[in-house]
Amino acid sequence: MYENLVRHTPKINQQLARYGVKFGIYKDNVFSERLFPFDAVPRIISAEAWDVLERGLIQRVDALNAYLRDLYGDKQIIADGVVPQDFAFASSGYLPQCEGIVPPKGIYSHISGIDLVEGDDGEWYVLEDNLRIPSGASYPLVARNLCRRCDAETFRGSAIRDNRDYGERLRAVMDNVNCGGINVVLTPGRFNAAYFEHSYLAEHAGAVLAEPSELFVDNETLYFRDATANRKVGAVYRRLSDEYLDPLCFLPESLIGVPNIMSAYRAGNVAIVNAPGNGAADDKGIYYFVPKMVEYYLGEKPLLKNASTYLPFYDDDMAYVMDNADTLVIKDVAEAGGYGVVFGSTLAPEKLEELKALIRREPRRFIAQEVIDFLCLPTYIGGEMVPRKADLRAFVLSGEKTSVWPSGLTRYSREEGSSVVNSSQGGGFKDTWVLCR
Amino acid sequence: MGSLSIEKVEHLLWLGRYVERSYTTLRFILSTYDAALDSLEGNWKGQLEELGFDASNDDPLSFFNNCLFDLSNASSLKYSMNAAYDNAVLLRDVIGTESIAYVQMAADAVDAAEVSDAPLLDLQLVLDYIMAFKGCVDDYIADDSARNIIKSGISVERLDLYTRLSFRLDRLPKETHRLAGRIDRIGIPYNKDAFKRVIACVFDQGFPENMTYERLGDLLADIAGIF
Repeated sequence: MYENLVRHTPKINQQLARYGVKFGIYKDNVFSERLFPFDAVPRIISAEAWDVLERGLIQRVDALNAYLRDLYGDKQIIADGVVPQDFAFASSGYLPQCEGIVPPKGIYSHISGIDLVEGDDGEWYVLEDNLRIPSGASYPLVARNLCRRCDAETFRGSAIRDNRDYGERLRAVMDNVNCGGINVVLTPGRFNAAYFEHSYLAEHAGAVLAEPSELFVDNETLYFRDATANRKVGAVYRRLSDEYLDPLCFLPESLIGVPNIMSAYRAGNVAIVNAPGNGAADDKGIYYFVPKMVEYYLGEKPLLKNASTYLPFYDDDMAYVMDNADTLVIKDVAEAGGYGVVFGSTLAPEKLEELKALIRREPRRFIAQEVIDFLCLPTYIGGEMVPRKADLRAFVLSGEKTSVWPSGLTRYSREEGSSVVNSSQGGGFKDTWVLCR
Repeated sequence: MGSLSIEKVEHLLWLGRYVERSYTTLRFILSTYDAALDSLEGNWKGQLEELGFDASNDDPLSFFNNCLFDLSNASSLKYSMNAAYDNAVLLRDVIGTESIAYVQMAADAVDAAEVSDAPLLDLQLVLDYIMAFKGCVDDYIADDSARNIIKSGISVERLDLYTRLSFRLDRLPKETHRLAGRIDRIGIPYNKDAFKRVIACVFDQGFPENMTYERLGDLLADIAGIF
């Protein structure tokens, strides 16, 4: 079906290089840019499977947004004992500075990146929710254009849903909460790992790409320093972490923040996309409670499954983890990007005992999950087709209504048998074809 | 004019300057190299020294290699092309991915030529991509101000290089005329007095025959002072 795409994979990768499709990486304190390897063999999702995924993702993100409104508002879910206080407020992503702030239209997570895997059993499992600054939508956008040029016949006959409207969708999300003024994509700068994406999305959403020094706050209003006249900013899609966002509110040593941006946000004069404080809901420890949130806030059964997860915080779960650590995957809730993930089966006995002792000392810091035997996708590497583990980051956009971008970032491991798909650790990416019939 | 910060204006201006510096430097080196094939003595060394190269190296191949690819030399082709890329990559929302792609390809072509066994032949691609970028500036960049700033950068760099090298001085009036047609459309302040002095100098009846070394120095200072 996609022989042409496979045959021309090197050419497509050359074109991706032409368009500067890169990510930055620091190694030994030296910054360099790397091309993100693209495999032209796509992940294909049938219309029926997508229908379930789409409904499940919308449901999940709606529940997460409701949780954030509640957490920084009435805290009813905690009063009702559904999410323990120890987890809600001990999360490193919970920001007391955001207490009582209601973002424009009550939306906290405007762009959510939900990481899923398809199990060998054909079920989709959510591995992680990313509600802060999920990356990765730009890469398949560029790749799709090139693949369509490469193999017109395949695209003409396959009823593949077009995914190239992401920029317009992003713009609509920003316009929906815009408080009057221009839309800005705020980037920490050229040496950020995802700088390509920041600049590409700004271009395609028709927003101004700004570095922190190009923004300032006056009288609780955020402005862009234009060469001719300052312009009011109505919505800012910030691509830097909460703790660096405002040195007067969070980390005082931050040199990449915008002083007083939080006061403009608190006054309702600018929308921050995604809202500060969202880390309280995408913490690996909070993940365990998301299906319960769906039932609590929406009164519905969750359509998407979590991987079976154990919280050593609970005595029963601690006992299970101690007995089965050699078969589980242990995750440090404070880490991200594939770091802090340990497969018990790969540890020597003494290392496993050390890890178990650490879990006993700091039970809130870890979660443990059953290893999902997730599906391998055919991948063209080194001139042959080989199976490789792959995940899917689906992008859910919350604007006037919640919708799912009919595509996503499929990341695959380049090493046989490995489940680590992160670009920073050598992974590549594929296009994701969602069929419309 | 769209939303352009002072930083973006600077990047646009320097993008134009570095692209033109790469283009003119490469063309100059190619023509000089050709002359040097027959006789390695002559004015070419002096002219390249004006560009900042150390011409004391007696090995011509090594010398030209440094002019082209020595990243530690701010006058080399590679340095200029990398600097053009460093400015372009910060302007994606203003000039667009299609335009940046030509700068990216020109920079990649310099890298490829460096490891080629026929670098001067392969460097033709760099000229081609730069020309394509210049076409892109006209066709793809919708913001008039951004387009005019890049073109003003190109003009200022030409004026600077031609003056510095005493090369094609007869073209300075035409380039100054072009700049005059754009400079009031870029929407940002510039040094009008300096530009007036440049105009007075290059449109003087005796130009360029009456130019002394000292007057060229004054002209160069005025060109540098426009922005």
